[in-house]
Amino acid sequence: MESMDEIINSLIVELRRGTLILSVLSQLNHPEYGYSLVQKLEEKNAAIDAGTLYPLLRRLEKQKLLASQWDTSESRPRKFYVLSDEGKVVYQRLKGEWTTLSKQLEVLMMEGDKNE
Amino acid sequence: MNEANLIERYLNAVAEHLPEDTREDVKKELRANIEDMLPDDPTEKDVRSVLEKLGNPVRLAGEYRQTKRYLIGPTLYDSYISILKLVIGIAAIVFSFIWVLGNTANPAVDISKVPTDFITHFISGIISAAFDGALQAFLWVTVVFVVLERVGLSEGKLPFGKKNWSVDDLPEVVLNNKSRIGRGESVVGLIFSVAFTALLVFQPQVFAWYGKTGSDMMLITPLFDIERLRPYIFFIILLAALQFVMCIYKFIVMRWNLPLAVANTVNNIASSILVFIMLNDGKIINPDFLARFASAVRLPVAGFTTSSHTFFSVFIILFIIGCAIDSITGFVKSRSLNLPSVKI
Repeated sequence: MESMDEIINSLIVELRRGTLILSVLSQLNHPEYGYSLVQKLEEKNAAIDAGTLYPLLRRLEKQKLLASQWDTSESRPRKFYVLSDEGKVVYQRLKGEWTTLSKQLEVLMMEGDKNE
Repeated sequence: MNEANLIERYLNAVAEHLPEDTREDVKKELRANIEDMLPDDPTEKDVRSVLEKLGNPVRLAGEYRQTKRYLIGPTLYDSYISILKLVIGIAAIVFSFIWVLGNTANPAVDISKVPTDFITHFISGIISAAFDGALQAFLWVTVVFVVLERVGLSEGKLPFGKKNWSVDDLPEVVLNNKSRIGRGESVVGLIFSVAFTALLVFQPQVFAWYGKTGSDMMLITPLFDIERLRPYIFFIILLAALQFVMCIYKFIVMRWNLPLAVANTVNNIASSILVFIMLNDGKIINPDFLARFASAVRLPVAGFTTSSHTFFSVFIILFIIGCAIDSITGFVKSRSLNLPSVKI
C-alpha cells in the first residue's frame, strides 16, 4: 500500500511537471547556460533537478523554441540558450493559458471551501 | 586525476546510450555543466556528490533521447498478450506432435528392449519439443508486434487506438457485416500456417503416401524429393511469415480493409509463383509417389508418370484460380466496409 505521503508526493511531482517548461521559458529572455539557469531557478525558490533541466533545454532547442550558441571566449566553453522568436510566441500563449487556468482553479477551490 | 577520471566515466556512461550524432555535443555540454557545478579545486567527494545529483546515467541519457522507450505500447499490449498465449499454445502442441511423428517412424531407442528408457525418452522429447515451440512462438509473435508498433499501427489503423478518434470510426453493428473476420477464422489460419510450415521445415517426409504393400509392412512414400525441396524452404518460410503476420493483423483488426486485401493479394501471387516454379522443377516430386498415386486411382502407371506434366499444369491452373478468387474476395470484402450505410 502507498502511504498518504507517497501519494501526495507523486501528485506534487505530477503538478510541477506541467509547470516546468513554463518556468524554464520564463527565465530565458536573456541567454543562460545550464548551470546558471539551475542557480537562477534555485534563487527564486523554483529549483529544478539539473538532471531534468539539461536534457529539457536540448529538447526545447530541438523543438525550435530555444536558440543556442557555444561561447568559447572564456576559459571553459559553455552552451548558452535563449528564447527564439517562435519560443517567445509560445511562451506568451502558455503564460495566458496558465493565468486562465489558475483563475479557474481558484474559483473552483473557493466554491469547494464554501461547501465544506 | 581521479576526479577527472570519474567525470569521464560518467560522461561515457551517458554517451553510450545516445545516438551517435548527438554524443559528442551532449558530452561537451554536460562536461561544462558538471565543471560549473564543482567548486575550484574539487575533491573526489565534491565530484561524487555532483554526479549523484545528476543521477543514474542511463536515466539521464533517456531524458536526452526522446524516442520510444518501449517495445509494445499500451494500445497493442492486450492484443499482444492474447495472441501470445494463443500462438504459444498452438506452437507447443504442433511441435510436440511433430516430434512424435518423427520419432514413432524410427524410434531412437528400441521399444521392445528397454520400455522404461523408451518412456523417459519419449516424455522428455515431447516436453523439450513443446518448450522449443513455445520459445519460437514467443520470439516470432514479439517480433511481429514490435514491427507493427514501429510502423505505427497503434497510432492510426486500430479503430480504438486512433489519435483523432471520431464517432464515425465505430464499427457498424449489422450493416456491411461482410467485412467482418471472426476470431475463429484467424485462429484456424494461425494454426494452419504454424503447423504447415513446421512440418514442411522439420519433417517434410510426413507428406507422403501411406499404404500397405503385400506384406504387413507399412510403406511410406514421401511426396517430395527432400534434397530438391531444401532450396525452396527459405521462400516457404518467408511466405508463411507473411501469412502469420496477416493472421495476427486479422485477429486484432477483425475486419477486411484495403491494406489487408493488398497483402493478401501479394501473398497469393507469391504463392502461385512459388508453386509454379516448384512444380516446373520436375524433380521435386518423388516419382515413386506419382506411381503410387497412379496405381491407387487405377491409372496406367507408365502413362501417368509421363503425362504428369499435364497433371501439374492442371494443378497449377486450379491453384492460380483459387488464389485469384481469394484475392478478389478480399478486395470485395474490404470495399463493403466503405459502402455508404443505408439511411432508415
